[in-house]
Amino acid sequence: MLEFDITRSLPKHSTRHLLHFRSSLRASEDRALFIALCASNGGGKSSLLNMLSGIDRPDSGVITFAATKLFDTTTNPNINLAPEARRVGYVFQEQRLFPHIKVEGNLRYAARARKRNGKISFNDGNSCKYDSKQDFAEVVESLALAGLLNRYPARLSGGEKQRVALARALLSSPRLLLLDEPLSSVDRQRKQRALRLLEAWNKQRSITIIYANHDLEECATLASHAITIVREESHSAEENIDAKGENIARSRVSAYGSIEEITTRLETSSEIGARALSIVPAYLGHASKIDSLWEASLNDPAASSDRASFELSTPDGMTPPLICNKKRTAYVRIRADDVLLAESDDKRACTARVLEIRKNDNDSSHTGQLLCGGQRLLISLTEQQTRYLDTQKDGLVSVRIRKAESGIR
Amino acid sequence: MLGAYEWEVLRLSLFVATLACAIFMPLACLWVWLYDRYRFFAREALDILFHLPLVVPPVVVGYSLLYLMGREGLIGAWLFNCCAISFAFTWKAAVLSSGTMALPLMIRALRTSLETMDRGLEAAARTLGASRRRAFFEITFAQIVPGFSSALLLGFVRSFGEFGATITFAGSIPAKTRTLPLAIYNYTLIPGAESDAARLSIIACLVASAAIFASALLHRSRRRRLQI
Repeated sequence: MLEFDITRSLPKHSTRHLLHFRSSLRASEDRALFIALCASNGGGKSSLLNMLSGIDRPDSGVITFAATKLFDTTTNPNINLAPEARRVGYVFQEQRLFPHIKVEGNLRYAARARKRNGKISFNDGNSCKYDSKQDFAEVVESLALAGLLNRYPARLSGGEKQRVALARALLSSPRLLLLDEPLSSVDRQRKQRALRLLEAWNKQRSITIIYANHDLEECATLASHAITIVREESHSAEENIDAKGENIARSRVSAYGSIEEITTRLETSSEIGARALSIVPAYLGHASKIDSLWEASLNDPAASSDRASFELSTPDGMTPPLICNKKRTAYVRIRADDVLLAESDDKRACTARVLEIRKNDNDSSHTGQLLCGGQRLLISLTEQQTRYLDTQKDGLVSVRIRKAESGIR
Repeated sequence: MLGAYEWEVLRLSLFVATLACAIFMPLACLWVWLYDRYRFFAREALDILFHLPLVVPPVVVGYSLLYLMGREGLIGAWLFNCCAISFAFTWKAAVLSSGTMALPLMIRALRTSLETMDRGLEAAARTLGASRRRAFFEITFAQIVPGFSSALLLGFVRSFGEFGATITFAGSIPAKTRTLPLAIYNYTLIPGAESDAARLSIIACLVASAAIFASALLHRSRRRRLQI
């Protein structure tokens, strides 16, 4: 469980930036939280992570993680656990590797620091459940760091630095892992392996992960929940200037919830990335001739006759059983552009109910929210199509899903 | 080439400068750390006090030391009574005066390099489980090695060449407090000893050059190691 309700005011040159972040997410029984955190530039994403890690102190509020109060100003005396006592791993956007220590020393820093810091104890007994030697080998292997161990950070490329920073945070045996655009310069193949490692540690070791990115897409199919942050500079001049004549910008959490809920909501669709997409659970059928294509459907084929089936592509070397659960469901990503209006006699089409249509801000296109096979889906619509849908009295249309993607792109 | 007298002067000078660095460098580090980390009473005033030797005439520093640490001085009298330690007109006085003169230079060099450090690294160390103090010493302090060596160099060269404060506080007693600059000054007072003064001056130049060269070597090897 992760709950926070915190405020902080950042004086930044001429503009005062007021942050108010509130969210409450509860993990499902079988899996720790994996939260995708989306915010535009300057939205306060790093500020939120800094406050959660204990590096920055909120002005007021409460942070609760897994029944432990990390921060609380409502009690007297206030609670404010030191960063080293929170067991929070943090991958910084700018990595922050120690330049005077070789990569191996960077990776082993946490183990050394914790050993010497014997006085800080954690109230969950399982802190040393895992063999650290094995962890080290696993992380080095998964992130392909073996060749870098003997180098100083100054001699690493951007992607290598990011992999080292991720490894260093993982090896600090965190309970909560904060990732601030951790893989933005890592190449596709290594990114996949890194994300798979994150997924495994999230599921097997119950490490709660917050993955911050501009775009939801990178970790969309791994995340169980999402939080979106918006920065608001309201249009009326009066509201924007306080008594001292300072400019004010406000950042707040605009939405939080499960990933399906957030991605299929029209209000938040533009906040989670450049292109609207829906993350939905899909049932996996069989693999087709080409290895990376699977047949999938929105609803359980056994239970329903009206099924929305589509082809599901997976990244190379990744088979759906790895990314789906026992019921053969996997979270998949369906772009709004890939949902098409279809003739009703199209064999692959299915019936959907139009719930809501909204015009996009920047052009004449529209985005619609559909209920299709029990799942909410977003669809991209032209002006003409929108007018056509308005004429459909019962709000029922035939749609076809061109394709969906699973895993990491 | 060098006579027994010159050897003795050189040996004493090196001894005094080394000891002054060995004692005052840790003090400089301590002060830089305290100043950086804590806000406390008279913080700025103390900092100005430690910087004074840089800007006041050395003779003022020497006189102040005499006033404070001399056998009749405020602290000196107490030290002499309780521990039978006496500074004035011994090599200890030379160490104290040259160290005091070198202190502000060492503080400045250390602080300048501390200011260029990325303090975000300390925050990173703390998320990895290091305490605040440990993060400072293992990450920030460990990285200011270049500042450290330049502080040591400046401090050493300053102590080695210290004249005004030493002659005021420690006097110019052969084999006890007559360091190289004092010996040169002494030769200039003796008619016909110009060549001796010149010889000692050349030695002074050589020692200073060697110190700078050693510091540059240290710097270069570190740069090569970190590949920056």
